[in-house]
Amino acid sequence: MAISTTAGHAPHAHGKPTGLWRWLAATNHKDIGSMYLWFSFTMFLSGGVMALCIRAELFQPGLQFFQPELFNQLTTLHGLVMVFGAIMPAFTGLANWLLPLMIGAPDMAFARMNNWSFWLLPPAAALLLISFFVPGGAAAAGWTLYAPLATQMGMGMDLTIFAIHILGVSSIMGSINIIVTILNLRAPGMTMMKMPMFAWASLITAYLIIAVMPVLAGVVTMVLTDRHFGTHFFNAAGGGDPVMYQHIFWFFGHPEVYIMALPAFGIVSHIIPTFSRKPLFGYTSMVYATSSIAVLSFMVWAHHMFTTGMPATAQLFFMYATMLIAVPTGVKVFNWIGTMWQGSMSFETPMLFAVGFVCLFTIGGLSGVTLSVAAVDIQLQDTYYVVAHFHYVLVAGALFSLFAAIYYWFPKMTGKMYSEPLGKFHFWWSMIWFNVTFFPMHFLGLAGMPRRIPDYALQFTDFNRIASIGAFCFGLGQLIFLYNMLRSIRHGQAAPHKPWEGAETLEWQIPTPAPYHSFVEAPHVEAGDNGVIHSMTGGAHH
Amino acid sequence: MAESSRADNRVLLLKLGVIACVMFAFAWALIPLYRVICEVTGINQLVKADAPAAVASDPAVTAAPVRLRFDATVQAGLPWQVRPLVGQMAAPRGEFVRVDYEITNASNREVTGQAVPRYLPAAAGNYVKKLECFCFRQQVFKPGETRRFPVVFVIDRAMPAEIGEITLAYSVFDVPGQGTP
Amino acid sequence: MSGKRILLSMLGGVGTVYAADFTFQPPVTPVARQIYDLHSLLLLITVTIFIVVFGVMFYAILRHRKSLGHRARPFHENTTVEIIWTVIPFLILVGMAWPATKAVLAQKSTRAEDMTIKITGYQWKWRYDYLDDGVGFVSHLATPTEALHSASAKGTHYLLEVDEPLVVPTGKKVRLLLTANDVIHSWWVPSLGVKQDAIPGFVRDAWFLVDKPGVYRGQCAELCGKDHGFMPIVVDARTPEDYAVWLAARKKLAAASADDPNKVWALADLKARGEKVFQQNCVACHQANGKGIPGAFPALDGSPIATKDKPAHIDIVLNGSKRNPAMAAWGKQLSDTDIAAVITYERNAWGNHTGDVVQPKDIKAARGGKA
Repeated sequence: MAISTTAGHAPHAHGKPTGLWRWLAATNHKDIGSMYLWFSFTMFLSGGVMALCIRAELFQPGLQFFQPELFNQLTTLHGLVMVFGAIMPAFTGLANWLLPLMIGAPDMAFARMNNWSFWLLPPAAALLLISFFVPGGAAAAGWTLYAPLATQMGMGMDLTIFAIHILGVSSIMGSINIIVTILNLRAPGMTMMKMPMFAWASLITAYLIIAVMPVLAGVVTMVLTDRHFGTHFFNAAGGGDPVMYQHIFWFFGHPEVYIMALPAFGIVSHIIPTFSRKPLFGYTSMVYATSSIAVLSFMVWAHHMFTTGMPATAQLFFMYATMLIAVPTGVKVFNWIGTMWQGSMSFETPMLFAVGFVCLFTIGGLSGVTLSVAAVDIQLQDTYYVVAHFHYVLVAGALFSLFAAIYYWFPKMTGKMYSEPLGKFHFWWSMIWFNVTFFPMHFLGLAGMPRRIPDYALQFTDFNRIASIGAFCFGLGQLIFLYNMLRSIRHGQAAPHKPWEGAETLEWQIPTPAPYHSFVEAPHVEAGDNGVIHSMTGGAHH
Repeated sequence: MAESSRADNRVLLLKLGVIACVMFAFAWALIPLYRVICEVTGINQLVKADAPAAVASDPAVTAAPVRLRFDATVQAGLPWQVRPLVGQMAAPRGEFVRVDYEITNASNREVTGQAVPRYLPAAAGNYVKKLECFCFRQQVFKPGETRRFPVVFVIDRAMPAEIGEITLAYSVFDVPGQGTP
Repeated sequence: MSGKRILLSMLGGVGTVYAADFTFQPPVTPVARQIYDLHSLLLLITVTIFIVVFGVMFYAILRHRKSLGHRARPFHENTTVEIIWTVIPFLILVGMAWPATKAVLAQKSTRAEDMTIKITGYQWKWRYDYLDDGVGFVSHLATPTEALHSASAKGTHYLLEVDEPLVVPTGKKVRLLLTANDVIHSWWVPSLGVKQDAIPGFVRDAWFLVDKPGVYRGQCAELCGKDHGFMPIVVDARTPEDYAVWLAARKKLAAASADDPNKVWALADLKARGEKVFQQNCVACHQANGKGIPGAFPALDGSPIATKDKPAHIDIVLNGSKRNPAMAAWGKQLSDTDIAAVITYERNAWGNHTGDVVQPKDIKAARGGKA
């Protein structure tokens, strides 16, 4: 591996900029990636505080801390902040940091646009958070913002709609950057069917975002015009239909679920092979499974609407299509287990989180299969069973994969090792309390507790208490992670060039920490499946 | 980065930007599209008002009678009372059916309303051929006025046998800006 | 069971321990039973899949470890295996789809009903109309506000009790026509296996046939605003004989409670009745203290409409607010006497001491002589 320090590679010739300007005018993919990650962690904490407010109120029957309207605002904003503020930016941040390193590109394709797409996020987040303090409070129609309830809300709804517009523009620009980078900037030898799974997952996710975020922007704009400009898109009195909102929203909403899941699949497909010291089993089928999940995700949206009263034929179609998604998802789980089989496994923190992900995500997937059956869904729709289901796929799915990713790539990003005992403690603590929080919610839903209620009948008390205790412990545990990160960045042991014995992708071929300008000269690589590098020549950094 | 690859990037950027714009437009296109799908499949009736149908009645042929149920719901903001004088009846296919609705304006102002027929099962809507209905146009009511309207229709013989019952339930809406302060 | 109770009481800390349920409420209709059985089947299948798949994984985790000196065998492709684990899940799903399809078709079969009840969702209460019998009433949450704020004890059916339950006969196919007046609500009674959205401006239907007399409780399942959690549903299923008795009594009551609209009321009587009407219909937004909720729902205590402009007060209660859609037109839902009572109450409660008495005939006049 040649490390060139020759100057003259405009526009990357300058060293590291310093001070505030480095961040405000950042065009370096690593700086922007770091900002994305810190931003999303901040949003994760704010959304988490809202979740704890919800769980505090639900600790026992009766209204203790929040009036119903504020409670509804908290559930709404918790959902919006976590989906659009925490999970999506976190994956974009990781993609920013890692894609150029994985495919041998000097930076993202459009460095300045990259800067804009990040800096749109803080104002949007501010709009969401200050909406709590405007007259009438924040949006309180649930994160789905169903019309016509959404047309009744106060000014907080308008702020939310603007925030969604901004977040949408940001994620579309981020996605365009990801697609162009992957399609046009791969190093010679890094062909599409050799690309690592995270690159594949990011590419497919980016296409999904471009396809559906504009649809969300469109539908919330319609709510806005219904609110202020006398249109009747979702008002039956003017010839509209409230159910149409749900159709358009879920046309966005279901692919959105996979926008939050596919990158997680990609991350886990790196970590399991590394710590099994074996190549990923069935790389090609993984690529096809990911693509078919993406395609199928456009055909199942109405399974969120089984109780709206659609004809039996429509219910059956969406039921069958939804069940079908279990097939490619199952293939992915089997491939991961196939990778672990006959491996030489070790269980450092990233692997623990990855295995935890596979287990808990599968529980979420199996409860999803149960929900796909329309007749059963009628009983479970809008209950805590659904809340349990999507927290299994989003917290134990997306969030656990993000923790796995941060622990896994932390040495390459910072040049330091995190504390392994603290990391393992964080995993076991999260794993236990996550299940204490969310597993009882299945029982609550089955027993008949609707979601989005600030107070409940007495027979739901026990499980709510357990869930609330679990939530507070889970939330507290995330401070361990923050402490571990902050301490390790300053005082961590210097990380070796390749801290993981089985890590074979391109980002592990460069020095640690990753040079500020990496691959200013494209390397020539000879790669195998899943981006495993057999040999590399050239490739200069400084 | 070579100039040629920069140009490639620009082209791709443009293409992806166009896809995003097309998808934004698609969200809006879903509205007429939904309307068309609903009309073709009879999932929902969204049309504001329907029009008299031209039907040739053939009373010579008798078929299994269809159970009919009538109802009406007045939506928020309209101070009307709307009720069918007969709640349910059985009617043969292909014959004229008449049912009367009574509408009262329970307010002290002039009010305009519009009725929209909804059918259960939704697919039945395509087979109820109305010849006379207060839902064909907006109705203006003086303060306190009560009027009766006949609804006359024929159930198409082509209606599939598995639809043995039809519920005709009007949703009656306030027409904003007309006769209300 | 006792072990579970002890565990739960430990986790629950101090306070009462309630029986926790791990599955659906006992089904009392054929459809609910079908759903119950279908769910049990699905649970069995999914748990089996989970145990088999993760049994394999945990075997690998325990045996194929580096710390045990296990060497990795670098295989990474096997088309046969891929085909097998694509086809087998597919076949399992086909097997699931068969009973699932039958259940969907059963749920959708609303034909050949014995009676029809129309259900209208309002923010935040339900209206029931027995279309064949001309009986109709509104069903409100019966739990007192004090119990919510723990100022009084919570009864067994806290938040699941109403003033007027929906009474139905057992053994009869009851068809429901559902609609809503403002936003989307969802009518859900778990034991009956019915959950159907009520959509404003549209009509949907559902059905049930209860085969066991009893009281079955449910809640609104679609977020419908502030008091979404406080609009329960209670279905009281009685034998056809008991139902007939109830229906006759209900019809008589309806005839008797039609107040003489020309009766002249005394302030105290009207105010007392008005307070009841206020508690049922107005308190959710305007609050018991008449202060409303700043920013969302206006105060009545000291407001110009409720203290000065009497015709405007009558108009907004009768016809609703043009500016704020949350203020419904009560003229359609309440009798002249109830409206007169509630307006009188509002003009004489809290800090409002106008001494005004609004008589039912004033309301009749405001309606334009018709009611």
